[in-house]
Amino acid sequence: MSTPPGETTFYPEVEQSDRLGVWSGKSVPRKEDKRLLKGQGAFVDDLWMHRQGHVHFVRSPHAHARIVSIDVSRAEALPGVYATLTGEEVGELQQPFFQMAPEPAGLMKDYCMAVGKARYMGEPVVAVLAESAELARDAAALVEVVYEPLEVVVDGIATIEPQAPVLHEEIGSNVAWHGVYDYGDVDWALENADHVVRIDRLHFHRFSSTPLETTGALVNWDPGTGVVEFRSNNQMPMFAAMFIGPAIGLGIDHMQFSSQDIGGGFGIKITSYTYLTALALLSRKAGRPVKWSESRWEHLAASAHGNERTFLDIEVPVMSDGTILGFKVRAFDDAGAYLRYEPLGAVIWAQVVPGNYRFKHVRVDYTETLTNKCPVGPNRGYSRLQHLWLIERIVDIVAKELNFDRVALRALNYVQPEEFPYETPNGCIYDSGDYPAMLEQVLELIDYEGALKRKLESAGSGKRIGIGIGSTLDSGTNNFGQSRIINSALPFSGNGEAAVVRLDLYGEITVTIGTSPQGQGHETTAAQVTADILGCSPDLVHVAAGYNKAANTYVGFSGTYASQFAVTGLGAVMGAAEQLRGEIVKVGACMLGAEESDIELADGFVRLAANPEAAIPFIGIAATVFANVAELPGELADSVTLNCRYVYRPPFTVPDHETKRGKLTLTYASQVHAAVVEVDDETGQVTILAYAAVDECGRKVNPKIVEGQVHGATGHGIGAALYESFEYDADGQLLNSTFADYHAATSLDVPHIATGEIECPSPFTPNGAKGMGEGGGAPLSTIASAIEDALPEGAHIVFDSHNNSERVYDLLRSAALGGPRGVEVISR
Amino acid sequence: MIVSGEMSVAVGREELWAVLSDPQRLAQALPGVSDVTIEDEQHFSAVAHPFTALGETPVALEFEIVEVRAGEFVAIAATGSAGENLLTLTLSLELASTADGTTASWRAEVGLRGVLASLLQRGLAELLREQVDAVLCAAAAISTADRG
Repeated sequence: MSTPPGETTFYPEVEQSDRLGVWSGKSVPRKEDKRLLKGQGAFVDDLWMHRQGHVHFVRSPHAHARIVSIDVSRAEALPGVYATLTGEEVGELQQPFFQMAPEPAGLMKDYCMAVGKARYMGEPVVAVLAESAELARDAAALVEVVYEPLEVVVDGIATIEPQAPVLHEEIGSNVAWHGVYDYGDVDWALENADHVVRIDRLHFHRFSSTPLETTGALVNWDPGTGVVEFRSNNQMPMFAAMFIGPAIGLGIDHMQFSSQDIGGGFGIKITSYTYLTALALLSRKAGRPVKWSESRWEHLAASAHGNERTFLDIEVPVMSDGTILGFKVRAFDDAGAYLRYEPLGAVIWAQVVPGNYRFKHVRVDYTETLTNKCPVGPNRGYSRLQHLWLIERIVDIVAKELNFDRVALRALNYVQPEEFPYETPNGCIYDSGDYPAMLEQVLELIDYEGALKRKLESAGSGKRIGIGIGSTLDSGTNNFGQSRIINSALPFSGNGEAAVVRLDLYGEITVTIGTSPQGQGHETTAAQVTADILGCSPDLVHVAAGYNKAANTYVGFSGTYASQFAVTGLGAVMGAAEQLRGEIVKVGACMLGAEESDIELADGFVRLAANPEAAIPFIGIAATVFANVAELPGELADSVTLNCRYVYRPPFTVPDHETKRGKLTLTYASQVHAAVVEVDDETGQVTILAYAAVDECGRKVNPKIVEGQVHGATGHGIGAALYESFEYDADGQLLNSTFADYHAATSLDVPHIATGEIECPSPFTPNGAKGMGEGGGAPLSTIASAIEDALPEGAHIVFDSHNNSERVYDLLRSAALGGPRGVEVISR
Repeated sequence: MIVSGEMSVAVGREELWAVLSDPQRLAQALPGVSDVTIEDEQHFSAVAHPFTALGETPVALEFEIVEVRAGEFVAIAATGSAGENLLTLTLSLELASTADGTTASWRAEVGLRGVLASLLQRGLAELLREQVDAVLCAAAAISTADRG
């Protein structure tokens, strides 16, 4: 049921568990680390199956080309080559993948390999299977593909011009989605504001994640049972199943997904379903298991990139006291060549329409386009970090152009702590927070007053000092109903996660969850909450590593993505643990001849609260239920299994397609970052002198794991701000598809990060926690803010999220050149 | 990518031309080139073996002589492939007599498709210069040997 427009309804407040606290909230050492630090983790490339072959993909060197012919005969003639799979075969064996876009983009025919035409450099054209990875690669070099190169388009805005080459003829244009989000009355605000700040163009660049483990899989199509086993590092297996199943005619019952350790994902391993499909088809053709591990260049060129977005014609109404009323903007999001998770990004950003601020009037004219570049996919902070970067740029530019203090302007416009739960203009509910307190703390951490002094002292030294601030939100636990805003026909809404908590014969407590962790420490945090609820040590709780569909702990959106485990995953674990606790108490009460209300669980025992000496260890409970059940009354025996499954379901309703309003996500963790940078006047080189991040993510289950995530997200963002940017030439050739040219930030590039925290428990989650870990791209805003602060008077605004030395050099010189600055102010 | 260069050799222009216009002879002296096959007066093929970050990367090249002014100018177009990487090349070479021998001026326009476009974007210019210089040096050496 939808919430009527204009009517405010918050979620029901959730009664939070009073059993958490002995282990939850403590920085318990990670259970996973014992095996990982000893090199005993099991990643995809560690897996092996009898008779397996190795796969190498032949990829298109052209960004756009018709495939005239493919000759695999020389490759197949090589001894040790088992089979090949061409795009032409795929066209016969696979139905196009299901599309989430409405028509006409929904007509797109997307296959697991190029069929008839290649649309980006690196697109798979042929798969070669051989007895070794080396032989497969050598054989791939013998495959002869004749291409007819076509005109290329790489500009995300120019691609919608009539003369641009069309990527997908069945769509008829390169527009993937278009819609206008209009909240409040932005026209009124622009007419009545004391000032209107106009910004010509801002650009959020294309980058991605660089997980230590690239994408890979070991896939076996069992010819006898017809079951396809996918051992992979896909991070959202049930989403993958939704695409793979209909495409190659497999029911969910014929797809078995599993993973153990995954060496990082950050979202981009969600869309590996295309490769899994190709591997399944190749396995069926060859009659043997197939294994593929992506090389680094394949990963950079052809896995998934983060969304590139350009913002045009930004207008910001501002009152003379500094109140920012909102903004309007035209946004062009470049999805690359295919819609593998898109156009969800065209609505995901709307989870954070006003950012951390009380903007009431917002209009975003949003167009998603197709270009001859690698398809995009979710990437840490997916779709929101672009929008949040825009907002932080707006706030800084307004402050500079209208001579407001940047700190005071933020404090004035932030959603205030007493306003939570806070309803945004589009009906989202920010659950809790205290942004002014976070700002105050982060400025202390970078010694703001000292930095101001240093900035004054540096004048004329050739080293310019800049101070930057970036506020951001980490919205977590998606309502998949938001997909209906982009396509009302999509059958998705809500969210959930499943878990099973069991007490086994010898008193072992085992937890299985539907998540697929990639370093987030699920084994540890799930053990902590289970231990709290069952009254035992986390050491006694075994949490199954990784994902296994056979464990029956999955729902439609199971996986690890979008900052939600602390809510959905642990919500499911808590529910299942509570059920198990109830059963243990029942059995214990019966065995002790007491009332259930007299029972407590502590130290792995069921005991009488009034007489702890009267106690039964968990093994006694389990052994009775499993092996001595005739001792129990029949009614009790029939009602307990000690094997409890629970599905956590957030309290979502379906957003409204017409008004584009609704509750799009459940929790809003936040971060405020600040930095002091030194900009070399001669070279444009940026050096970070001080960096701090203050995090708020509700009640923390394991503070050390949270701090690790803050560090990771900050490093990722700093890398993107200064070093990491995918650059294509006009022919669609990616110019930096190796680590020689794509510089992923290392520990040598990331400065010491001072961290702080505040805690504002979410009233809407069973443990008061909020999902976190994406970080919202705060460093991109912070570094841009700091660079702008360091620029000389009259310089062009910082217009790009990526600011390497060359770009900063140009910005420094722009002041002397005296050209347009990319911004104008109209005051009344 | 456009790369150009100039080199002077202590060999007469006619002598140098005689060797440069005989790929079979030239090939024997060239480092990193194998399988030279002459198809006709305008067409020949060869395999170059440049070292890139991928290791030795054999590039199979098909050449066509598109313009020639005997003794002084030649323009050659080539297409090649290295696995899934593609290469296009147009090379013009002009010889001019000097007091000490010959000055060879050359200009190449190179297009790469595939991972090599990324890997070679900084190294390609130097790689080409080395290769062209090697050809000219080899031709000069053969000419000198012929004379001797």
